Amino acid sequence: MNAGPQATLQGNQRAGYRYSGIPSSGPADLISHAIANRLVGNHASESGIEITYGPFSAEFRAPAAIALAGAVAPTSLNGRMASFHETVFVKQGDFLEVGRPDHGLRTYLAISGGIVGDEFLESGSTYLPAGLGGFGGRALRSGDVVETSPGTEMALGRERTPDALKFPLGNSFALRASEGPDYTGGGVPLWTEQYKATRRASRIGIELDGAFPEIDAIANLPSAGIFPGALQLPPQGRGFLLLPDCQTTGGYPHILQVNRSDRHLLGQIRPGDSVMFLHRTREQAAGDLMKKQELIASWIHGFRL
Amino acid sequence: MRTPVIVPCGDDALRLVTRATEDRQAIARALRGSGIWDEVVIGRESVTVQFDPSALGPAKALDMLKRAVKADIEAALVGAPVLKLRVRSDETNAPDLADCAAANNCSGNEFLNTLGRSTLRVDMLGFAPGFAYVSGVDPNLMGGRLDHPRQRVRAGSIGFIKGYLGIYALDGPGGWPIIGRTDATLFDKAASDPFLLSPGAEVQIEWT
Repeated sequence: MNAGPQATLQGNQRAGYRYSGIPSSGPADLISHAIANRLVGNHASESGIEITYGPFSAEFRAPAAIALAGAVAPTSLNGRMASFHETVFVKQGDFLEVGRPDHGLRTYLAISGGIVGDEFLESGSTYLPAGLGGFGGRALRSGDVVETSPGTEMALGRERTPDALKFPLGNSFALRASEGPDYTGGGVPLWTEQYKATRRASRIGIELDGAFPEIDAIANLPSAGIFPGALQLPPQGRGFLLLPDCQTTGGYPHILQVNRSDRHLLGQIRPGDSVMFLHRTREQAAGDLMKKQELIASWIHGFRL
Repeated sequence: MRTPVIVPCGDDALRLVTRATEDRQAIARALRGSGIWDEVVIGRESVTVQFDPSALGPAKALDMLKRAVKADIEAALVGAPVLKLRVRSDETNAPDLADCAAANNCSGNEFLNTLGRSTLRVDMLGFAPGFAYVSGVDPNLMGGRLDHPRQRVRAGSIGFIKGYLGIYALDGPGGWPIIGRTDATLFDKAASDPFLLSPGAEVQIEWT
């Protein structure tokens, strides 16, 4: 394969170990990953390839069912256009090429059977900063060969993602969010301001440029548990929105939290995109989450965000 | 124990603010044992829990956390493990010891002797996988972060910043001045509990 700027194996989230300093990792866009898996008959927890802003290409050494979801990019199989959001059957020697997406940042490639990676604490997801899980703890490189689990039966029928589950991606994101523990409410109108994602963007977090409230004693908060979706405000005055590989504790003011219902979108924000936050109460947020979860679960049995 | 303050952290997390180390360790253990919370994270002055709002509504979560705290958490640090670490502090393993000592107008040995009289306890793990913040360090010892963080600090390295030791379980970047290094296996990828140090554990260091 040719892996492009950054492609990693991601499967289920590594849940329940944050007290040891181990973040969840897993797909930055949880829904797209689950959709790709569903199209090839895999459980949502199976590992697939998270492709960050193509180009990516791979030759198949064995027949398989594959599927692509997430940021839609020009894609071809043996030179012919290939579609996203449907099951594609490949033969030995077939060649898949995924280009750069027009919108969004991460494309998910699932392969029937799931890709075998290093299991660490019940998850095969890659955590790059510590080199754990996935493909020897590292990003995929050109020339790597990955294997699927042996003995798995290929999905028989061709499946398509229902339209209601395809989240359109553009250059602006409106994310539903709730107040964080260090929210002050004063000064800058956090809920109407438009922010811009800077070039500092990784699986750890995305930096946002724009007007933020001024917070006293900015660097002096005692370290406390934080989670993906948190918007932190470091002293240099730019917001930092946390993604699945973020640290488990942090001492910067945590001013708002992107709600669980919309956290999957964080994985699709690319440098230059604009970001707005929509104010939700915690009760509204729980309702939003249930609604989205039910929608996805109507097609992906048992799906949870 | 005084009733801790509870602060919501967005839509799916709640934070208990309480300063005493014993309280935090005991609360965290009780919360983790309850099976209700997805994550229970100890902070410097807090315990933060994460829950699934589609299974446990925000009002109910708050109520359950209040009840959990009122329940049996008087038991402090009974049964917390004691870990003995041999730490080497020659020049290779302790590149910043001389500077730390100089900042306190003493020799490296005097600095380590003062540390040796402190009762050390793992306060929390965070920052990086298995990175242990160890509290109890003699508050008279001064010291801050390195001006230029290192790209790579070796696993087992012991850092010092006023009031704390920081123990690196894995190789990684870091800004703590390094005053020693242990050969103990702090991280075992294959173990069900991969880290030797856990919050609440007492750490006894033999400086060599």
